[in-house]
Amino acid sequence: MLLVALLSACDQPATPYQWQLPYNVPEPVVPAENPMTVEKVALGRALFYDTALCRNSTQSCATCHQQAYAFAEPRRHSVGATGDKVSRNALALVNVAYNGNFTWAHKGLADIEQQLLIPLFNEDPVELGVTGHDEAMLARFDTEAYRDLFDAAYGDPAASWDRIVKALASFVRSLVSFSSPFDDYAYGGDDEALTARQIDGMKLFFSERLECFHCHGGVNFTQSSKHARQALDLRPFHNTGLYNEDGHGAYPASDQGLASVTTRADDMGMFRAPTLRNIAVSAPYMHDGSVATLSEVIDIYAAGGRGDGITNPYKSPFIKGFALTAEEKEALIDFLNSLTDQQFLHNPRHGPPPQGSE
Amino acid sequence: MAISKIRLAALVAIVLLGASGCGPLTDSRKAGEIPVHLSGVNDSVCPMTMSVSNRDWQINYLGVYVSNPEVRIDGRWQALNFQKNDWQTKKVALLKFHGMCEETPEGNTRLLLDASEKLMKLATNLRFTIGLPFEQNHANPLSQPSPLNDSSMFWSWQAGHKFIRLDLTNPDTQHNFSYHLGSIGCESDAPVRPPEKACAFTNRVEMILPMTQLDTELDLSLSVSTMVAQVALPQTEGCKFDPPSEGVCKQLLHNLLHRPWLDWE
Repeated sequence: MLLVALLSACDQPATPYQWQLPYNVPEPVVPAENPMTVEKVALGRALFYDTALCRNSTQSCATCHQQAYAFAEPRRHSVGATGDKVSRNALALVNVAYNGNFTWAHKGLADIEQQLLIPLFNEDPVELGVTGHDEAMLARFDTEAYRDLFDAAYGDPAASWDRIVKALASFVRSLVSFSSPFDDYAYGGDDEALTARQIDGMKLFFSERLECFHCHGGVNFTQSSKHARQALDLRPFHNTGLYNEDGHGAYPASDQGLASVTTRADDMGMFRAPTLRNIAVSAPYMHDGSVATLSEVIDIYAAGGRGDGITNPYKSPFIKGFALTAEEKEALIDFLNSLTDQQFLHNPRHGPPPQGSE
Repeated sequence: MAISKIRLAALVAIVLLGASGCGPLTDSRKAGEIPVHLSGVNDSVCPMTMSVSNRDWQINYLGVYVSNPEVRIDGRWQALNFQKNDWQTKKVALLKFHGMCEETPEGNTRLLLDASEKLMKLATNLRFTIGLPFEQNHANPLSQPSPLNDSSMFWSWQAGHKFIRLDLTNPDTQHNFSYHLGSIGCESDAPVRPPEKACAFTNRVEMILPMTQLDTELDLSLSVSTMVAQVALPQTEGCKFDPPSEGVCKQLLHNLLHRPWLDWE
């Protein structure tokens, strides 16, 4: 057995992945059982853009996670391969490698590998619809191109769902964004990278008056974040006062956030604060995509919530409302625009693989 | 503007316990380990709860930075280091208290000094700072080691870290109270630029506690109700980033300086 293991290892000349992170950004934490390699990222990229990963070959991961929109999609909620409505807005895949938690509201998913099982195998709603078709779908990857990709990644040409998930996770981990004008200003020390109005907006963002940074703090603009030098739990779920259906804090039964997972009443309406990196291109906003623009998002936070949600007893104490002049609001939006990373949005290595490579 | 504080707490009980050598402190602990317990707080529930002026309050968040530990031996101060781990650098430790929330780590409820039992037995005082030194307080968060990169305890390069963060909620009225202590009046071009000189109010609090020679098994007790003594919690949202010279902020800083909110148990 040992001999087999050694031979297998020799057959797997995988190339360690180089992160090439700017400005001394710490590397993310990668599970020991799925180390990053160039070959797994390449395989994952091919799979991410391939409709073969969908039961009826109508969708790929990229259907709901489009690079131009920071790997989100410009619609309120996603639709699965068989027409099922997915209740939540597709999250942007930006620096997911740094996430402390995954999906909009779940405490139990330790890593991307676990999260990926949801869009692949979920039955209610059906997303990619693999369940019940897994063996037949694996046969789709018995092509020369995929055998080469699997062989390069794992030292064996055979496809398996474990290998598919690890490769997809590796590709998603490679989607890192730290080259926005804000990064150039903050971490690159380039005083010219931001306009005076963007700096004014930044001052508002980091002020106790607006409280934005309490939930959207840290290098990734979300407390739901960890990296190689930051492993501490930061309790990143918040009720932002969007709903209050019964006067006692209830969110719509279709989605009550973390409470749906934990069954704890106090977790009602709690969702993970997403990163604000590339937020300007990932509209619409909130877990249900119910807010169309950043301007409306700011209006909601300025009002201390939305409608009856303002009095939601489970609302975060930081959602208490604030006054903002029109000029200040424009400055704040300008600052949020400075978090858009054009290199990330147009990086060809994140896009579909060249024709004929898979 | 460093703020000094010397208190001589009652030590009789500790002396007796230490002298007996067979008191309740039978659990083995590492040399230099100082557990920190919350007093008057029910930490067996999530979130933690306590009572202040006959009102119940939830403690949603409680974190405290401690830095630059020293002991006094034979009348001279001797600098110590913390043992490095996720919660401590050589000179900085973060205390963080969570209730028994599911899947939630316990936080950090101890200081772990890099000091031998022999050294601790010789000490007559323990001195440390509540807060962070200027350099660490305003350094690039990307290059900071844990626990200095805890974004929930960080404002910005300009303002630095929260030295103390206390967030309370009254479960009956949903009234919120927060005390975020940190340096105030820090001047720089932008929140992501560090100040070049000390802030107008540094707001660091120096603590000096007496130590009983020969007794190395000391526990600290942190009293939240003492931190907020003489503050009408239901009538104020607290003190966040405000000057310490007036109102609630003045009273809260007074409590840190003159009341036994952190003392030997």
